[in-house]
Amino acid sequence: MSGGGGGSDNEYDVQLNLVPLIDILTNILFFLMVGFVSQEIQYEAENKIKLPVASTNTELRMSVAVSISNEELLVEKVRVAKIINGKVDALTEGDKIVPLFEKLNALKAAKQGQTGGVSENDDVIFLVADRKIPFTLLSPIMKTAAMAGYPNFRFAVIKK
Amino acid sequence: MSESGSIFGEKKKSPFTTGSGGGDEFAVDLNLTPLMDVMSNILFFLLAGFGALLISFLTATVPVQSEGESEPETPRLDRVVVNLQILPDSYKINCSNDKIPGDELAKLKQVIRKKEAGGYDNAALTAVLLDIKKKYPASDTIMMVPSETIVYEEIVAAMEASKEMKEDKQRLRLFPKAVIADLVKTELDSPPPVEAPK
Repeated sequence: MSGGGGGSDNEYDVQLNLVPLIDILTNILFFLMVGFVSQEIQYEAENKIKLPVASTNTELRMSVAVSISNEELLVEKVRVAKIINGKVDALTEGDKIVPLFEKLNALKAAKQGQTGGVSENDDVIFLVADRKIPFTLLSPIMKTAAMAGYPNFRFAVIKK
Repeated sequence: MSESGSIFGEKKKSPFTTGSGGGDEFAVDLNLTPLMDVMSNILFFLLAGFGALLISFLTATVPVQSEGESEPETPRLDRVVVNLQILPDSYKINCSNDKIPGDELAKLKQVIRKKEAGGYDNAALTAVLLDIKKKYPASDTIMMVPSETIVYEEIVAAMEASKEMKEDKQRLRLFPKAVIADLVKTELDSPPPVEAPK
């Protein structure tokens, strides 16, 4: 790279060692790619739930998660009832699904015990439901949640 | 840059060779610059996309009976509550407000049939709701009453269509407060028998 013009004995090509930099970049790249798909995998593969798609940009906030697949009803990843032929297979009193009601009540009491009072997301359910769930299944679950003190819902969707 | 133009870069005599024979030993430097370029680009786009998380949500409530003794809010003349029935073959829209004459509200009634392809016409729903919003700008609540056969995906699509409208890169808020209600079923499967006139 010397441009000529004398003194060529003191000129050296300084080569940067790029190998460690590439190592770091590769690691960052790997973890970003893994993290990028993890959310969808978490909801769609593990829970066998295919979320509906919508164009919304609201950021996620923590609240009690209720998942409804074609096979089971989960609260905070704990199964509270099976779903058979599109109906909740559990003890019911009218529209109230008793095990769901009890679980949500217990969670509410535990959370209020921890925080020492009512906070912003205490009456909100983060509902992760399969896109093909019929309203006949959704309705009693939402009513039960409302009876347990959770009348507000956040319907999980995949961003368009 | 490599003088040879090869991906292996230039060949140099290794600084670790100690002379004594081995005149054929060379250190081969890989030209890593193109690799760095590619990786930096991938990294940039991944980082840019990572902020936009894949999962989001739409808000909804169910109607509950208030336990408080507060005075009910006086209905305003610039606000209506939209009732959207999601029927198996159509959307049925009507509006309610006790202070607005019934004949005026009756003009807002609409039925939007499903498209020939089979899906609900959500664009038409948005257009109808935009008209209502223009007429009653303080309105923000839509009461959705899905039929039994309606699936969650269709409810979400109706919520999305009624929440806002995108026009010229601007978002117009329509009815962000969605309330999901259920039809009250009667205990009677068949109409009551009519007594024969005496």
